[in-house]
Amino acid sequence: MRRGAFEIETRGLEKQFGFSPVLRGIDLAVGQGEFLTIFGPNGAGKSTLLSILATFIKPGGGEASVAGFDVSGEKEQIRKLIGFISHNTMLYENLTARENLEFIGAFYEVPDLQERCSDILERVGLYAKRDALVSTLSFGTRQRLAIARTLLHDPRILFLDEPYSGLDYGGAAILTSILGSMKTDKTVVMTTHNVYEGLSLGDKVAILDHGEVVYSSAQKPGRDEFQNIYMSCVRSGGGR
Amino acid sequence: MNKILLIFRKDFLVEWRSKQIFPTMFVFSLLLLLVFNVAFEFRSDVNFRTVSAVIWITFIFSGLLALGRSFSLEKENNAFAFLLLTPVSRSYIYLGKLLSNVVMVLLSELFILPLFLLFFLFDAKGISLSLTGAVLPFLGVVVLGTIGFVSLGTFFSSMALNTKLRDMMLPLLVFPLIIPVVITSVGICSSILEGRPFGYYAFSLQVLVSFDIIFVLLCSLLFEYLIEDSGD
Repeated sequence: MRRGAFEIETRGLEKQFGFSPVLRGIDLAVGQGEFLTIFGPNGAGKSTLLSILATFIKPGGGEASVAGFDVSGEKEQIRKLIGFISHNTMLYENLTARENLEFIGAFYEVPDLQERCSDILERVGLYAKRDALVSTLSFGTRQRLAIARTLLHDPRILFLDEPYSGLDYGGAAILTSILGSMKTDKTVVMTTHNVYEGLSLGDKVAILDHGEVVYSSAQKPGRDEFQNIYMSCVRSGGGR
Repeated sequence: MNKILLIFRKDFLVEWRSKQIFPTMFVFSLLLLLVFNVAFEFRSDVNFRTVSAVIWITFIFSGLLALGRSFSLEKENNAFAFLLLTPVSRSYIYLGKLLSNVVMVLLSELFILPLFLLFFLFDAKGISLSLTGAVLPFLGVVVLGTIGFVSLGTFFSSMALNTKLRDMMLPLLVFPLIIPVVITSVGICSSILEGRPFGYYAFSLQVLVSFDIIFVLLCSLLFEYLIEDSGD
């Protein structure tokens, strides 16, 4: 695969779990600083696609590169550059908010870690809860903490897997404001069911259904137009 | 090394607050020793080979409880998946988990050993062996044997993490492989309790150290392949 043309690139990307194909030849290209929103019904393969790009799981076939590094062979280089937010908060329940950040921040060798943790907790509105155990926090608050942890090492590329899922109004507003402020200098791939947030944040949109890209556009359609496109694409692709 | 210690510190903090592993191990070990003691009709004249086997069976059964739980705590909220996302070598993650598991199991064994002495090596005349000569070598073998079975247990508990029957899978995977460690440890402990000279069990001790080195090295090298595709 040619390196450097796109920040994120996949060609014929495939994955199957057991005998079930989950991704069937995904071709995607995201340039530096672009924001791609991927829509799709449950089970379309969105989370699997992000998991491969974030080096959680191996691709079954095809090629994928992130920041010019191959997802199969150059995982550590990719891991230094990316951040990942999932609908699952992936936090340690018996550590405090600050301890969770400090634990992960140390692996990224974040300079001035304590100060950085305080700043980022302030930014997501959790400084007052810095010493609270995660097990005592509400789901929305945990999700905000997960966002803080992901931004701790100032990643160049962000993978967001249903980040609005379970967020309260305040949390969603904070996430939108953070993502909006990063739009020019970070490359973001986000999967979501939230049409309003997805369209307002994304520069490009794609629809995934049954492991295939059934629609992609470098220009954002209007909300009503997109809903029509989504319904026709998913319906036509959903019968396989 | 710093990253290994970070995982160790985190595991201890989590255990200190959750208190899930250590009390369970201690109570389970105590019950096992009681059952064995009743089975031997409260006699303190059981031969040293049998006594050594009893203590190692107790250590291994209670140790496997701790190992299974150690990765289950990581699985809650999928926190382990985020750790895998960080740019840290998988070998460091394994060694960090190994260190915390070894220390946790050793601490529990330290609490169990006095009870073991009381149940099996103590009679009306006092302790039936020369403590001064036996305690240090005995503790040394306990440390080496524990490293041996915990290194394999830590490795396979991460493998069993994503299986539905993980509590059953762990003993099935680990027991056959730790047989050499158990046989060697029981043999050396029995020789020490019988008051044999160091030269009598020196070769077995070398074998035990070799098992430890091979298991730790192999498991830390293979850990990356074992946990591949486990982050989803």
